[in-house]
Amino acid sequence: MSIATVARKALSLQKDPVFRLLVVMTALLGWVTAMGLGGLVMLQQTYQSWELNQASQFSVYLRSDASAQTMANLVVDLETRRGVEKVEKMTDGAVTALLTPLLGDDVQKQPLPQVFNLTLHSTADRDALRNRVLQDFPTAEFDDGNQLVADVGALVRAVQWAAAALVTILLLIMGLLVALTVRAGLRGQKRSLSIMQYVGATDSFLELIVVRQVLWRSLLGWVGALLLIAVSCAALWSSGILAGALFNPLLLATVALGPLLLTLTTLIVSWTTAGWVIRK
Amino acid sequence: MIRFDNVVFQYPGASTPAVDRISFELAPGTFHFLCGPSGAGKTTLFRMMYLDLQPTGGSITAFNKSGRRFSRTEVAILRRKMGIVFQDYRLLPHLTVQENVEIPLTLHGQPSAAQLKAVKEILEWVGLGHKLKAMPAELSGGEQQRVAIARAVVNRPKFLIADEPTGNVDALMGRKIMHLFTELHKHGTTVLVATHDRELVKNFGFPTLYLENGKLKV
Repeated sequence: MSIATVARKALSLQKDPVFRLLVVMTALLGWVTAMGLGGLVMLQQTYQSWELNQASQFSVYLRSDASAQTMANLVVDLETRRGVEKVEKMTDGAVTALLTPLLGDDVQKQPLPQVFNLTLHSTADRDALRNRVLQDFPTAEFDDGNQLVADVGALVRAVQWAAAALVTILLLIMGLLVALTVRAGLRGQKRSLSIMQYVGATDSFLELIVVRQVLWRSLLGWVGALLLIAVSCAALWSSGILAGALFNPLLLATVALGPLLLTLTTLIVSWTTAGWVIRK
Repeated sequence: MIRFDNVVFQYPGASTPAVDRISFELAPGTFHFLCGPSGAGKTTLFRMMYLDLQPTGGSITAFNKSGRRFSRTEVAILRRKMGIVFQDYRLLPHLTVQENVEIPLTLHGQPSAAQLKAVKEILEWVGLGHKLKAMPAELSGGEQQRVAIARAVVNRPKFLIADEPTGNVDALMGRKIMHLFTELHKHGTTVLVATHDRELVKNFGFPTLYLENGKLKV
């Protein structure tokens, strides 16, 4: 008689309705886990590329009547500062285009501010730059991309923590369900367990019988989750949401391995629970 | 084969030990009865034989392994060298007769073909060769006991212990079962049979360990 037969007939957990649903539960929760982790990866990557662009931007707004000579001297000074890659004065046309959405057609009647766009490295001392500008132009205003990055970054981190918490909760729910199922299943078969022990079954052999049953079901659940993920990705791709991002290796690895995390959780929990019941 | 040295066992909360400073040795190839009135400590001693209970005092030596505490893995490995027969048979209800007898062979990692051959032989020997595919619930008490014996000896253990093996069967079946045990003994198996059936003990004439109030009487 093979170990599989022993598992199927002598110590079967099949009688438990929750255990019979293990494949469906693993597939559904695995799908949710994969979507959550995939979303996290996409959010992180989108944020990172946006952050790289934003963090290097620093704009200075001067009044329209700012002295041309002082501005020229300022530009020369700023260009020599550490971390400053480029200082570029916006043309009147570009400033008009920038302000039109905010002020409407009235922008033509207003005196246009003098706008300088600075491209900075991360080594730039933004406070020193700000102070240097204010020294010549006390009414100057600034648009610092770094502040926006910090605000959006905090939001992204909050979303990531929420998603991570959701995945953790899913893993805990799955673990709890498996633990309760294995415990109830084995407690209902205490007599069979003790008979197996009397004929020389070691604890690890009995644990193996339980883990085998859980392993097959959770692996089937993983395959089910992969199918659900494939269908979801196809739907998102055809709607254009995933355009260009679908063939990202990190994203693909995350959504494929995410449900495996669930499978691993069920295995570890079933093993430890079986060991605990068998030794008790 | 198995030796008890000043073995004591006291259940938690009990005022007196169930087994009190017992010493004896079952040499290889011997046959003994274990007798005594109800409450004498027979079951406790029997459970200590197959290491279901570990002594609270003294030490047990089984198959040259000695100690007061055996690890769970050691217990399992030692049990594979023993055959145990219970009064209530303890067959797995969802397995056929063949599968029940195969379990010890599965634990030994024997291939399926060898398992089937050994199971057929042993079931023929106990007179149940035709019940291979029967479920335990379809068998009489005597048949179930013979399946239990087949399971206990299919591995050809060096030591066979039986707790009241004739307790739930009629006299004729009881004699048949005892003849199976004596046959095993003739082939070199060490046998210990716990019973309260004095007639049985008298008829077979093997040495007896007599327990009374947890102490061994010679």
